[in-house]
Amino acid sequence: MSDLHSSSETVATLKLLLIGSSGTGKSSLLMRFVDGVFLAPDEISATIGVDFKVKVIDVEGKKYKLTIWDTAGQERFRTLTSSYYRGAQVYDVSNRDSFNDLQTWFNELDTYCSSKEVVRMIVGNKVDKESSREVSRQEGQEFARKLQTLFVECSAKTKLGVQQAFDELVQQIIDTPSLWQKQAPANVRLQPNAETQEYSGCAC
Amino acid sequence: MADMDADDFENFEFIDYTTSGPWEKFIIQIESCLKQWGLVHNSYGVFNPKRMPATDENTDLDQELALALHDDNAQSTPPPAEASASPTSAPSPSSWSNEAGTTGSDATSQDSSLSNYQHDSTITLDGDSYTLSYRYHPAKARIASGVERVDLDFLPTTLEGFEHHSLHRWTGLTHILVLSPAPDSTSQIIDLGRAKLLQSSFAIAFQNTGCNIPVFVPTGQVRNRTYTGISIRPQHLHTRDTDLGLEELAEDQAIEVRFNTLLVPYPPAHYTDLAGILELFIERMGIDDDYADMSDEDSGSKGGYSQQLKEQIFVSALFSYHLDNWYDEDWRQWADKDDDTTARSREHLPNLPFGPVQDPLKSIQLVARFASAPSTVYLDSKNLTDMDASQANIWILKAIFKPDDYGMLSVILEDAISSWSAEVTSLLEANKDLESDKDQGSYTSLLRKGARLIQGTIAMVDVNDVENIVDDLCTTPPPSASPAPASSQPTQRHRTFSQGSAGRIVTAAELGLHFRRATTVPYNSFLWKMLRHLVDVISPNSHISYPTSFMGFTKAVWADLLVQFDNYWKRKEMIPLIEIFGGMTDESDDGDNESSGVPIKTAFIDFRFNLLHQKLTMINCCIARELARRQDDPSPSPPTSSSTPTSPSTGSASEEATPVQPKEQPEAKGDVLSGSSELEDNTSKDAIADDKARPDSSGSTNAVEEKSEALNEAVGAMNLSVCSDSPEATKAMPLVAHQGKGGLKPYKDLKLLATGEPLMIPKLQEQGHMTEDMIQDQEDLFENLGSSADAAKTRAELQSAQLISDMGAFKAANPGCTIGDFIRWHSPKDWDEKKGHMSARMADSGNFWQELWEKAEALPASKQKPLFDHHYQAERALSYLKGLSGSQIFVQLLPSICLLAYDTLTSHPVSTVSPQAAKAIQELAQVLTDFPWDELSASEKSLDLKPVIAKFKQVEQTVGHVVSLLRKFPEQYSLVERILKDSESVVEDGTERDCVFTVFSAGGFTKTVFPKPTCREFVMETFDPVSSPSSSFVGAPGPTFVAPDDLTGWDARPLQRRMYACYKDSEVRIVEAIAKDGMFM
Repeated sequence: MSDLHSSSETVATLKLLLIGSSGTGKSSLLMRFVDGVFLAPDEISATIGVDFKVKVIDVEGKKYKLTIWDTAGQERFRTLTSSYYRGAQVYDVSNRDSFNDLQTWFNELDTYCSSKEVVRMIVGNKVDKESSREVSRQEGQEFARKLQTLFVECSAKTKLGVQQAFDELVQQIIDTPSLWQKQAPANVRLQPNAETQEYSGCAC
Repeated sequence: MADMDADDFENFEFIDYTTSGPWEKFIIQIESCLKQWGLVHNSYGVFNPKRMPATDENTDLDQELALALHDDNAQSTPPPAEASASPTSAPSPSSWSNEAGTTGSDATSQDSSLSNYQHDSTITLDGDSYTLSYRYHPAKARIASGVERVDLDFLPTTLEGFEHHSLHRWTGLTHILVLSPAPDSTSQIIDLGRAKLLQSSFAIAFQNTGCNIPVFVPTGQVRNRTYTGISIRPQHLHTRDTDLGLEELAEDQAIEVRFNTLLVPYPPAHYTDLAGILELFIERMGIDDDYADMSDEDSGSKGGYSQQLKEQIFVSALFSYHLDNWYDEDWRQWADKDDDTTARSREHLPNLPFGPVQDPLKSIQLVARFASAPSTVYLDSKNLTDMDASQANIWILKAIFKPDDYGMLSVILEDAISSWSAEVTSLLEANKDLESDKDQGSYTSLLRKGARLIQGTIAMVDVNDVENIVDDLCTTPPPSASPAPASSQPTQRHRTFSQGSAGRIVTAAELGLHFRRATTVPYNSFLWKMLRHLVDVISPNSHISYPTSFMGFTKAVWADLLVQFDNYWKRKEMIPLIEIFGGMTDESDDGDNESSGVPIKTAFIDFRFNLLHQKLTMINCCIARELARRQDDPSPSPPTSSSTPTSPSTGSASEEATPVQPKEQPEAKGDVLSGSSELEDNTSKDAIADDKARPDSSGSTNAVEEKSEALNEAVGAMNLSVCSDSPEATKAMPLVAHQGKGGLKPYKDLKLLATGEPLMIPKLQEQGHMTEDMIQDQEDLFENLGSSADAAKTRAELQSAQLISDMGAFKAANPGCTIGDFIRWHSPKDWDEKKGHMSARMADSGNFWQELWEKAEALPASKQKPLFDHHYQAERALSYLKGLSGSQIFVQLLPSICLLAYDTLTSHPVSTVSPQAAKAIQELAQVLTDFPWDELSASEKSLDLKPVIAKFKQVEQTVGHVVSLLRKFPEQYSLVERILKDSESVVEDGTERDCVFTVFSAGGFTKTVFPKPTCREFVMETFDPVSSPSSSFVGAPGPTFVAPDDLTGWDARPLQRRMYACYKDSEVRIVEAIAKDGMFM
């Protein structure tokens, strides 16, 4: 649906950025949202540097073009990717470490993002792996509250919460006109929320 | 007469109106006004203190009716005698018909509200129109509600900025009616006879309505402001809450109070002291009559009255002292201990002035208040007085500032901005003229152009001054090329603000980070210091005395600095004050990191600062890279130098050519990126340089076959390398494999899968640096590729150079390794330790990583082709700087200029002692934070900077006021604060009073004694004890500072007698109020 709509009638182009530890499913999430298909993180080639996908969405009858930037989670790519921290955010609920890394990601964002006005969202991914969950929903919410960001749990695999995550984020951006009216990029952080999910997913 | 009678008759048929004379008509008008205002039955009506402030219920002046009334006035011009004509006398029919039509609605429509404290209405008598206004002074209500302490004997003439009628002060009455000739009236003077008539009318109206508010009528010359007045007060008031307007009593027997004003120029010396006017009071009030016995006794004693009598007269007084501010060159000098610390932090940099040029204080006024007390308490006679300021109970200090002062700091900002807009305008117009000149080469347009040139683009600049600034900037020791210890932090001014509630003042260094979208330069960095010098050039304090413009000077200094930057790069010397390790801002957590983990600190470009600073940082990063390379490898030229287009810059041979060479690419980029003006393209592009540069740059870096030429160029410019390009470069190098080169240390305890050797972490190539514009370009390039799978692949390839380099280094360090080893180290999550194989995505046969792994040649990082071509990047940064127009530079610097100005204000210690100043500064900080700096554009001045400048001006004035007052009253922070807040303040006993006393006795030119009061006001009051007994009523304007209970001993119903006397400018004004029992009419 996205590509058909990417006509000139879009109100604004919003820039989203997915960051988070490797294997938390940033690319999967993106693929689910944009292409409507699911590939486990194992199946999508590890992102090198940065990549992006485009999707046009309708909000209150207006079309917004989303440029969603996906980044590599590996440490070594940090310098390459950090330069893009001028715009969304995701994490993995099935992986404790990926959650613990969140603070680091936020620090990075603070350093490299020149705009103070960034909409941030923490996404806990892989909630389908409920059995191997390592980060409770409450924990995620606490953290998001502490950092004053949006929070959502989702599963790229089951589609649960994916649309909601992006909708909420976009809504927030639209509600902050200074972010997009002046073409300032909006940042979205993706943090892998589901701790156990990744592991189990990989194992299968 | 017959005609008139006939008309009358006719009219009477349909007009139900029985009063006939103009006078009666007048009284009815008064009554309707009074009723409209609710002034009936002793009520305060619309100004009921209990309900004030009440909603404004007044209807607007009905234009039509006003007009009708006006017509009526014009037509009926009866002689004055008619005023006293009997009600039955026949009036002019035409006028009556008109008046009948309007009278009824007069009461409801003639009222227009001028303010919350005044209602006006127009009434007419014999064709003279008058304005009757009901005025209210909120003093008592305010006291009742505890708002403030107001002097009830001397009601303030201005309160909350509202100018109240002087009569309030003279009479001590909060509710008054004032009748005055309407502004359009022919005669502004009411003669005494007329005044009497008017007052009689009111007396009747008062009786009819039960209104107890006094009315005043001006008599004599307007400028004299002399009034007579009358009020009718009903008898039998039980309570003292007359203030509240609740009395509902019979009006049959009333007290009449007469008011009178005397204005005596040059009063006889006898009457200029308290003793004198006390006698006058007794005489005027006819008190001697009531004290017949006593006066008999005292008649012998010369001019004296009995003690007893005098004790029954209460006196209060108000002396005003005025002190014109004297010239004080050092008015802004700050007598504070903190002073020397700030002086040190300022170093040798010029200080920016702020505030007004001259002391903003115009004068200070001291009011000494003597509380109401029996007249025997105060001694003030011809020869002897104890009524001087030091004896007064209460002191009130007021500061008067010069209006609308000039603010030096805001003017500096204005100058800087206007020099920029002049340039922008002249450039724009010049462009327009170029186009329009073809068809319209008129003489006037030539003239205009000439004028603009002079105004906008030519500025006087002394080369020496420019050199001095450049020298100063460049003599600062350069930052180290390696991570510096935490001690390198700049002077950090800790602000301990005592008033916790007022909040913290954000330092300029911190505020810079809050500006919209990275538009400032770091505090105390190279550009910061440059701005300090540049702004100083146009400051009034500058040593540069000739007129110059900010833009002119900036361009001159910038031109010199460009040469310096070039030299720094050639000498491989770091540009001073450009930190590449991010140490320029005072962030506490930053310091912690530094001390704990020095090795982690790598050079980086801080995106929180503007592009100009980023570019300078880039140059320094490149220099640091080169220095590091030289350290590692002492050979003069790097192995890869031959393949980089800009490497000749290291040699001396082609140095002239280098500045021009790299100009082409970045500039084209820059223009696209920042959307900068076309005019820039027209003026500064050098087509020849373009041609020269092209073959050079495209031929070397990007030896990529399959990609289009355009893409290559862009990629090369962006510090990206295409994967295929790497093996080619490495082929030239001798292959060094299987010797474990470039390994740093073992990684965990991992052993290589194949050989069992320890897995070594290789030394990796340091990553490159990018400035914001480069990232933007890269992003655009990526976006332009589209979102197809192919495009994604291309993007991955474009970004794979680093991965290949890592792989190569890994291979070199770990002979016999496999991709599995690499993944275990590089992306641990893609390795399943338990199962001992890579994740599905990595193990996939078509995986891009595997592809790259095949390509990567085992080569230690030091032998690889550098990922980051620092020579090229440095040249690019330099050429970016060179390509900037004056206007573009200014736009990048303007936010920092404002930040600098902000720093000037916060650096002054005044913000630490004055919450007022601190608050103002905080507001300024908010304005600066909210301002959309990121929308500044070099080509148009669409952004309105006026609010920012206005705020600066306001803040510097506030700060200037605080400084000035504290100079007068050293360390009286609390007093100064109160004065600034309310423009006047009671001086507390103790040090405050001592301090004020010192200022007044030592201040001014006399510098000797306490000055004489400029104005002395007395209020004398007594109540006639003789009249009929029964009530303990105390007149509404009773003495304030003496409880009315003190007077309960007076058995009789007291008839108030009050006299106000004001000595000022060699004249005395006396306003007396004498109450008489019963109606005189």
